Amino acid sequence: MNEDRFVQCQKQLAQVKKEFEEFVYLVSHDLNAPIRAISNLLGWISEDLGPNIPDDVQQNIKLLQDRAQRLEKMLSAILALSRVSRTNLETGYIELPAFLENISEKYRNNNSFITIQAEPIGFTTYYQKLSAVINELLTNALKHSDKELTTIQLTATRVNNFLQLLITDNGSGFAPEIQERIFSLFYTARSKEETENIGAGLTVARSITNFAGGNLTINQAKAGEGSSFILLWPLHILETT
Amino acid sequence: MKIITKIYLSIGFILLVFGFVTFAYFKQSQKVAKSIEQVLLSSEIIQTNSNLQHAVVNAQNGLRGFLLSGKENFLEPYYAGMASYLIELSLLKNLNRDKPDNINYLNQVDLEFNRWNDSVAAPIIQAKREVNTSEKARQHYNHLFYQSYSQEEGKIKIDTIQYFTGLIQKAETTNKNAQVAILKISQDRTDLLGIALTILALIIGVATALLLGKTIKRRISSMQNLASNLARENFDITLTDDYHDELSSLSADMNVMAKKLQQSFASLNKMNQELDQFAYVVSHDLKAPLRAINNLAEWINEDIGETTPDIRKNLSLMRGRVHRLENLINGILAYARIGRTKIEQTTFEFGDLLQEIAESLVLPPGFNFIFPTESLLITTEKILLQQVMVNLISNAIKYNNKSNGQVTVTAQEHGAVYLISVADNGPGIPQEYHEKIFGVFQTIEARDTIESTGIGLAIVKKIIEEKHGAIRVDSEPNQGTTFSFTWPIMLPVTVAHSQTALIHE
Repeated sequence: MNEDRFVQCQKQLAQVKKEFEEFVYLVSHDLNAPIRAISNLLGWISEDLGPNIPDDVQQNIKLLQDRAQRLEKMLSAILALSRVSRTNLETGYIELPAFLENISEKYRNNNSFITIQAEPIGFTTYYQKLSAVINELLTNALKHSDKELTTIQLTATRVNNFLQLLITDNGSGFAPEIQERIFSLFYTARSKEETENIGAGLTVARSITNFAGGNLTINQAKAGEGSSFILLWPLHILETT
Repeated sequence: MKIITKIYLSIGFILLVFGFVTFAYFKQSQKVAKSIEQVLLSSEIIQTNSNLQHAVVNAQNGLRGFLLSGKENFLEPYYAGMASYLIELSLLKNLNRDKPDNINYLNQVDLEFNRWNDSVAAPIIQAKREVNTSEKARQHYNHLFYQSYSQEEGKIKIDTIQYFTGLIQKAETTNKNAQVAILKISQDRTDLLGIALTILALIIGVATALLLGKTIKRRISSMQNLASNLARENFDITLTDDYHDELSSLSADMNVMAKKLQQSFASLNKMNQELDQFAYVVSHDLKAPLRAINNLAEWINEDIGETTPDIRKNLSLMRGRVHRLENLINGILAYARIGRTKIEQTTFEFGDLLQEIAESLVLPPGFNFIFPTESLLITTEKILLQQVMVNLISNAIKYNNKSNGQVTVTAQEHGAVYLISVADNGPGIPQEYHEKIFGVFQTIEARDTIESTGIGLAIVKKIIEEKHGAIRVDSEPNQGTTFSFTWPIMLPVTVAHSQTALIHE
């Protein structure tokens, strides 16, 4: 009887998972059309109005454009979430620290200082997914920085069957009470009016990490000390169901 | 120790005890048989011995009779005694072949008898026969007669024989009695041993059965307890079992299973929660910028003042899109929430539900809404049935192209289900769309013409499938459309009441 129950439960779980993905796909896919229509209509309206319009109208049109873009971004984030288990499934052999160097190169400029400390580790993995997660964490660190020079420290060590990657920055960090919430969808630390962020990057990063069988957490004592993310990424490709 | 080992050990021990009992009985019966043989032999020896004595006495008596009467026929017992003596003696010798004492006695008997026959009986018979032939013969006879009887030579010899046969008789009688006594003692002892061992085996058997039964019963009932707790989705129970036997490993397996069940229930719940939370996030977070867009569009509309109709039209179109998006989001949320929340069941009149729906919908002028005439009390999750009916009826109204539009609702009991249908006289649905219309976001007409999200029928289908019902559509272009679906008949909410009613019947 309990075996049946177990099987039934597993089935239900699979069903819910499927529904979840289907639902997410529907949300992102079918809502896209009217949102694009809104953007288009706005374009035509502002064209028709011409250049000589009152400032407040100009301002409102700009705000409206922002909102429409935000909606589109939100939808593509939802779409990205729904595609985590279906995209970038290519596997390849990567070697540290070269892999981290390559990714970091793009983020190095006058305002950033990225240091890498990594054990020489080579393994086969979903390298595109790992790259996406690291990219997101770097982007996040730079985006939220309140310093002139953002320093980011990447430390990679082998912990049992995992690669442990510490990403520490000198930014403002997150207050302890919001540390778990930053991973939820569309959560932004600052008000939506002040930021262009839609609050999906870390959600997607964590979702990708979970898919690969890893773990993404934030480890930081208090606000104002810079944030430190801990990424645990399996050194073996896990069988996923 | 394993249970099966315990069972084997106890049954093995009981079998061993019974085996021992059987062996003892076997040994005993062998002994008894031997004793009986001895007793029989002794009896036979005693009998034959007595026959021998008779033979000797007969021979003596025959001799005496002959000597007294002088007639030859009186000698017959003598000859008979002689013959019988020889037979009995050889029999006795044979019977006593393992008894040297008796053989010794017999040899003495034979010696004495032969001596008596050779030196007493045979000469005196010879002399008696010749007694009348001469005086010398008479004197010889008298001499012999005097020797044998007055000197009692013959009697002494016979007495010696009687003495030795008496010894045999005595020895064998003693032997026989001794054997009988041994027989009785050993039989008693075997009986005692047999009874004692049988009782011991029975005690061990019963004790083993009771002990094993008790421990097994207690543990099995704790497993049953766990199983029924699992069935009630209570996973906090773990079995502890330190016996290290088969039931222990079964307990361990059950614990693992309970844990796995708990984990999958937890992840199922988590998944459901996530989905709910996601639905909330989507609704909340997507709607916020949407509302902003709506407001901004309104402000722009107010601020631009005199302008071309194109702009006004586009602004209105834009707000139409915003409205549509909001409806879509609401529809998706409704769709996502089906079956995820438990809704209480109520009993209500189906006609009343239809009346409420008719009042909530805006019926175009001239539109005819026909209810079923018979009263029907339905027990179910009212909101779900309402959602189904609202979607079907509003579709029938929305897409109707006749000036005298009409929608007819029928409902009847059909076995374990209600059969409910919603028929309209609208444009009908071409065959190729009959499957597609139940998909999410499917509308037949272009989305610009009728404000329809296309999710209504998907919601209808999902609700009905959630209730294990089925829905079908019958329609031809220009022939109207009939949606028919089944809905399970549930027991009325007042279950306790109906049960007592049954008992009274």
